Amino acid sequence: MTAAIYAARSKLKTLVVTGPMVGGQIAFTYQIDNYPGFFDGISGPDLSSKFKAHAERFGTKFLEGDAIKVDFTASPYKVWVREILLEARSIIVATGMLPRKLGISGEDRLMGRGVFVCATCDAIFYENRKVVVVGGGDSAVQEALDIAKYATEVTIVHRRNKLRACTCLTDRVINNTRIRFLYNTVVEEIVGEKRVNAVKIRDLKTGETSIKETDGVLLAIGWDPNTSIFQGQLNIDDAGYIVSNGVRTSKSGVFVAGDLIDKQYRQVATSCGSGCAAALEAIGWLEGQPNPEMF
Amino acid sequence: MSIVTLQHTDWDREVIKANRPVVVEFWHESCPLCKKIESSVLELPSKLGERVILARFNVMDNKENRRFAIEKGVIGTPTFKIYCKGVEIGEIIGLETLTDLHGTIENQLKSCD
Repeated sequence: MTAAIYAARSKLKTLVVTGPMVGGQIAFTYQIDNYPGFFDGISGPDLSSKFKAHAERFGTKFLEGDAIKVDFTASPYKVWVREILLEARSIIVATGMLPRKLGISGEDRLMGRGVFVCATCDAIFYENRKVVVVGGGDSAVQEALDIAKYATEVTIVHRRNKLRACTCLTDRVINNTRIRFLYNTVVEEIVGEKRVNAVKIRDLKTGETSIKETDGVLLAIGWDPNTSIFQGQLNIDDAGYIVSNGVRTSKSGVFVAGDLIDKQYRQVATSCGSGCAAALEAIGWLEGQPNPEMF
Repeated sequence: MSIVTLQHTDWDREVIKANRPVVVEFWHESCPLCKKIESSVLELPSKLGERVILARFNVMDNKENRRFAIEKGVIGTPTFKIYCKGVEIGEIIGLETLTDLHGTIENQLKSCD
């Protein structure tokens, strides 16, 4: 969004392909308290709407939907959204991250039917119920604490032998009598017909499997770069991040911004920073081309 | 068509005994996805017309509403349930609501003649 604001303000013809939702990850965030200028905090959807309105003010156009294919072999570069072919002299890739999945049986089929990824949205429905939280990082622990306000039993299933979350959170979670831990354990299957009613778990030390009854499964195992459509077009590392020099990719005229090049901070503010840099690089690059006008 | 703001105490009158199909959205204010789709929801009355009633049920409005929603099988927001002659005939849950909400509702309404 920041890249669009900068590009459009520089009179470039700018189009944002939004993915399923304008604003991406922040649109799923209930409250953002650390974005400068919003000292009372702002909801994720409200902040993304403001970003969009800001970009529109300078003439940015928006196209809702996922880019399904790209071709960066020759200029103008090509991007397909549904059946629509888009062409551009320069591209800024800012497709962000997708919630990591376990890739196990029952996960997709029961998504929204007991499998969930947003405790803020759904914890209230687990009053007097049991929930399994998969993960061991900050978000897993924070979300386990949120769910434990309602659920009678929250079980954190973590494949390592200790939590990765910060001490401030682990102290709270360890002292919460409703929260239990299964270390060195993985979920192998989510069981249920129309609703989740159990998970099949495996103890990694003994190899033993067992069935654990539960009403819900919260997935909090992290995020993966949303870069599958760029395979073969841009250099991508083994973890799926785009290999870059600053915001420049392996392809001249294609730039990258946001979490795709940020393994460390992943903040709204840092993504805005790299979005700004990517747009400035794109503007400079276009000015150096034989015909700098956008189509 | 206007939007009915539903409480658990209104359920029988507004949903079970309704003379038209009823689309109920279960939502709450702390749900980012509900906020995200709000503009699509507010457009539904003009798209669905007079033949359908749209009702919004705030699951966080009071404890009774929340428990009532859970009794109705709601385990996440946003959830849309579609009722025909008092019987649930369809459901749209979570991320499914992002893709052509109106079209999906129309498809599910086809089984209500």
